[in-house]
Amino acid sequence: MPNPKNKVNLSSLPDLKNATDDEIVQILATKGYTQIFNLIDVRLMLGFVSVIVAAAAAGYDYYVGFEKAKPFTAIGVSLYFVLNVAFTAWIMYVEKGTFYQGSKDGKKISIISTTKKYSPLYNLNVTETTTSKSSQAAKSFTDFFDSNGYIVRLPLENWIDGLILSVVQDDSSAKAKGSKDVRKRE
Amino acid sequence: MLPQLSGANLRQSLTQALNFCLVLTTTFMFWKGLSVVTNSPSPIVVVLSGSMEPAFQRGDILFLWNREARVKVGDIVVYNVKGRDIPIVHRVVRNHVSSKKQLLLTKGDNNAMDDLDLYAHRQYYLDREQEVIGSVKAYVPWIGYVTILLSENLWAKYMLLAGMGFLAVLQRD
Repeated sequence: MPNPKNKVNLSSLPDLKNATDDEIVQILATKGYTQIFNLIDVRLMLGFVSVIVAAAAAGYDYYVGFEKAKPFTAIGVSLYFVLNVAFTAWIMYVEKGTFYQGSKDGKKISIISTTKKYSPLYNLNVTETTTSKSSQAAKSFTDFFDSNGYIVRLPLENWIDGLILSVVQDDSSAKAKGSKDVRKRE
Repeated sequence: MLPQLSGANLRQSLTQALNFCLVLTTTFMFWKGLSVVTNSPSPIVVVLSGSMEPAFQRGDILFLWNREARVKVGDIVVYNVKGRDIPIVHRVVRNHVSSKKQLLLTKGDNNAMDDLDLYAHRQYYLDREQEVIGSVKAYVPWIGYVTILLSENLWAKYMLLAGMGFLAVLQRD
């Protein structure tokens, strides 16, 4: 079953994080979640518009020469700068590490993953965006990577299931780890 | 389920393509921005010949400023001869100035004769507005030799670009 293409460099934190992020996206797809791409789409739009602006400025300058194109080049450079600042601001302040957003049965969840340098911990923050209920947990990458560098789905899947359950449930029929019981009984 | 995953995959490929493009466009925009600020079509040039020795050697990088309406005799300017693409870095040795324009005669420090033979047919002076692309305000020695190697060896240029693009795609941040 292990595909050599999926082998992850266990010494590279970005590789580990990206591989785990990808695996969670796939897990949620199999569980019937519909991925919401709005966050990514805005980022792509900002980025590609700025690329188009740069290309347009470059093309115009190439065809009419530096002197004639100067005012437009100046506009192009400023516009590019503004768009890039917006692009960076979007990634830093709006996305904030969110790598997945999806919905199922009227519940919309947003997942942020972060890692810290030299630490083997994978920090997950799962939020249900309509109720703003969030659950945070961390596990070492050793809990779901084998020593050859292949990700093992089951422990990751169980962990993610538990986290999602703890934020989407309103009447708790299942026990959520460590949460206070505020059960509404009929 | 399948269309879902391919939507994610499409966006992942687009994100990587975007990261690659942004490397190129940001570099280019910095260059163009510097161009606009200095008012010079080529604000950073590499010395290609030894005609300005001992002041400048082949491979030195020069930083130009082109917002001076009139340059002074003794300044080192960079100019393109009408119709040619190669920038020449020489010193202003003579000028004629009026309120309308400034005409310059240039000469390389290390040359025996002035630049008259380099100018276009029947051209006796450079026009500060038309041909001069800036006067030299600062320089960094020697580093530009890499560009000389790159421009004289086409293969090396493509290898460098390919390497940069490859790295940008590999890093998925």
